[in-house]
Amino acid sequence: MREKITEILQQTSLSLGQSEIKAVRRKISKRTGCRVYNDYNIGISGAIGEADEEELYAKAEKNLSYKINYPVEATKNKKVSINLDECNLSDNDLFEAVEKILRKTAERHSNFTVNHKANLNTVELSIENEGQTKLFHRDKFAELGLLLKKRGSSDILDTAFSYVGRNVNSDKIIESVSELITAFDREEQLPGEALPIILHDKELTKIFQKDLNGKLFGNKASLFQEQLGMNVFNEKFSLKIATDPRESFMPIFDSEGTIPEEGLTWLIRDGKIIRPYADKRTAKMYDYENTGCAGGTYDSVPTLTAPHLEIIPGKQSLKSLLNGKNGILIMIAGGGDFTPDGIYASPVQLAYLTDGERLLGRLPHFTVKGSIYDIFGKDFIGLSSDKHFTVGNERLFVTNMEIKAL
Amino acid sequence: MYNFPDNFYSDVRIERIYHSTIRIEMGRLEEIKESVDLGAFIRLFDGSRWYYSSTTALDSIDKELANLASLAKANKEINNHPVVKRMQRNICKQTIYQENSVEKVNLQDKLKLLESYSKLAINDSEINHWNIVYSDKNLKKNFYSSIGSDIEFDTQIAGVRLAFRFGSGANSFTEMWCKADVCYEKITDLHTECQKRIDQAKDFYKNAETIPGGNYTVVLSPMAAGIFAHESFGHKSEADFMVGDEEMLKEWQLGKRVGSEKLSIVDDGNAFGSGYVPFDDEGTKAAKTVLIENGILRGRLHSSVTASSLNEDVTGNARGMNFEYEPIVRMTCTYIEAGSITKEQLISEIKYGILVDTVKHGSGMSTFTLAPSMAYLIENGQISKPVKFSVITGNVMKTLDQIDGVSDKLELLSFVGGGCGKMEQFPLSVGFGGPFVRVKEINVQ
Repeated sequence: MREKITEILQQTSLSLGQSEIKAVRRKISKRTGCRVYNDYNIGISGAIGEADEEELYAKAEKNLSYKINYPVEATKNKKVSINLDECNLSDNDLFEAVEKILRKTAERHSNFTVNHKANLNTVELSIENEGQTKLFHRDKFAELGLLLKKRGSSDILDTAFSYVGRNVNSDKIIESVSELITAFDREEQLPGEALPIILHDKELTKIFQKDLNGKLFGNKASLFQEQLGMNVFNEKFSLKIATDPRESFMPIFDSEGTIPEEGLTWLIRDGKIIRPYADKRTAKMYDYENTGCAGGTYDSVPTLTAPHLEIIPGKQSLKSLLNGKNGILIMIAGGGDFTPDGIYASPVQLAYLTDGERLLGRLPHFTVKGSIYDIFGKDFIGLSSDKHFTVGNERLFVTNMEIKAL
Repeated sequence: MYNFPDNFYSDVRIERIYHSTIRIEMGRLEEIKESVDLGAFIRLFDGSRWYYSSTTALDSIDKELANLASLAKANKEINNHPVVKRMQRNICKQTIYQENSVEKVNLQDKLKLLESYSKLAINDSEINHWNIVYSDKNLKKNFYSSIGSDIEFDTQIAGVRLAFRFGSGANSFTEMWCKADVCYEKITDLHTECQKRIDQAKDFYKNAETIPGGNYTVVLSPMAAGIFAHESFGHKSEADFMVGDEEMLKEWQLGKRVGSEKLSIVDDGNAFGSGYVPFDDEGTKAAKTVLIENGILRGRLHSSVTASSLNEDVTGNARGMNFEYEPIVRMTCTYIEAGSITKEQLISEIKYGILVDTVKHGSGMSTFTLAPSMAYLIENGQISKPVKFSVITGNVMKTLDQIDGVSDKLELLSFVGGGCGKMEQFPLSVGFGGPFVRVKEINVQ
């Protein structure tokens, strides 16, 4: 059976430097991958740009001679078309919005410069095969990465604003950038008392991306090997594979064409480890459920790939989770890592003090440390029900961790 | 030659990239593929803004140039613009990897090579999970510009990367061995070295003890020193982050002391390996750029734009990740230069400290981190036992000043399967390395 994967990216990219638009890049890139399935083997090929499909299929058929075992069926009779291209932004709209953000920020904060990128992306991904499967995903969204650098600072960036969305509200972004800068300039001392730690959830859920991998489990090499089916974490802590394309800006299907049932996307529920994540081959090999986690590039054999994960939010806002206290919002903690037994430690290069609604000031550098079993266990406070535009328009995760001044 | 529009500066970079990848996991062939990508990146400058386009339709380059010109404002004085005046006009052909191109090695032979390495993991019953990747790339670039540059050159890298894991649950340990070189033949007979890394990792897995956090004297291996040089100081040497910031320029004035007199750091695109970049993506010839010499700040890394802004010379560090990206200021091969004492002397002078041998990753802003994989306790001048901890961290500038010993042998390292990330451009091939470097005091967590 033949299968074709097509990826198209149309992008306008503005390079920002010293609060000016320094360059404009336009590109349309097309990538085509061809797969041939035969006798439980798979052959692959691919090309960038306009490609001759027959040539690609011929190469994929030749690739079959290496007998790459693929002991599962290709997805058949599945038809899904999702078009999230509801964004009315034009290149000019993006240009004008970014110019306004840069101009207003420079007027308000002449001691800071804005650098990095603003992109407008239109993406298309499709998988079609001779088994009557036809999957299509299209989306259009803006991405802003604004690195805010204080003049005279020895750092490459001092604070940052990021946004991905299907519209650009320049006034709202200007206010958020202003809040980040104003609070950055207000230096606070490290609190004498232990305060809740607030993080972007992806900083710490990467250990679950690594150790809930079905292949690791299958080979008895996971940190959580002996804890499958056990209540290991706080009963308020649940973790799912993020599958909503509106939220994730990713297709609903994986690179094997799997769209997992909702029930299969839960990896940890009420503190209990439910299942590792898997793709078709991993599921078959180790007798797990297929959670739709095949990834890879357009021209590669579909392979098990760490999915985007989301902690299930509670009903309380960030302010409510802090319960009248201030919290320490970690914005940049680069270079941290886990020990094999699940102890996380990291320097924190940028943190703000917050009351859950406003940024109150910037804290000095410190280190943070905690066990994964405590961070998501006895010390877990919750994931906020509200999203915070200033902090990447994300819900925020609150826990307790040990901090020490650097 | 192309129809470069009048009254603009413009250039065209054409890349032909052959690459192959083979991956074996737990004894199963997971992937084997090779392909050739061909594309061009086109730039046009009107004196105030750059306009870029990338295409795989090489017959449309003139049309792309005309399109970009239609977006820009004609500038009769463009060739006198300080940015354009810094552009080098080089005419040269420097292709050295076409005769021994990895493209000429049969894919089946590459598979056999990878299978020979994978036997080392298959034969070790204590390894719970492993995967091994062979990867290579032969890149031929042509660069043409409106000021007359006409350059053709190539680069090449081939390598093997084995990742393996011992144990499970809380008692597990993951390590990696990676070796890459500019010629295929140079990576075909490294099985003994690979086996040695597996044996070392097994010993570490079985015997490493946790040590309390605190301040320690630390010796960085060439790998750790190279990552430190790249992450902690290399990125700060990329001049784009100081353009337009007068205070910053005062802070980073050339001639200022920024580290111990034992410390010298350079970036050199001429060094063969994964950081070999004989010409950058503006057609500037590679140079050995001294960043720090005996603790004194001597230079920084430039594109034509940053060099013009800071009134300095270009250094050959304007690099794009591939033909879909514009060149920005990037490192090539960054390393700490060798000192005068032996590694053994360096360690023998330490009463109680740590040797960081292999590293998982590093990062650097004003505070840097290195996450060690294998590290060892040093007691009374001797390496005593393997130890584990999460990260070492410290203030970059203080740490540069705390370097009090550098060994006499430089080791440059090359890699496949990763690289440097900056802005949206990841991964870019770079090289790094150094000798063994001793730091009086670093915080261990």
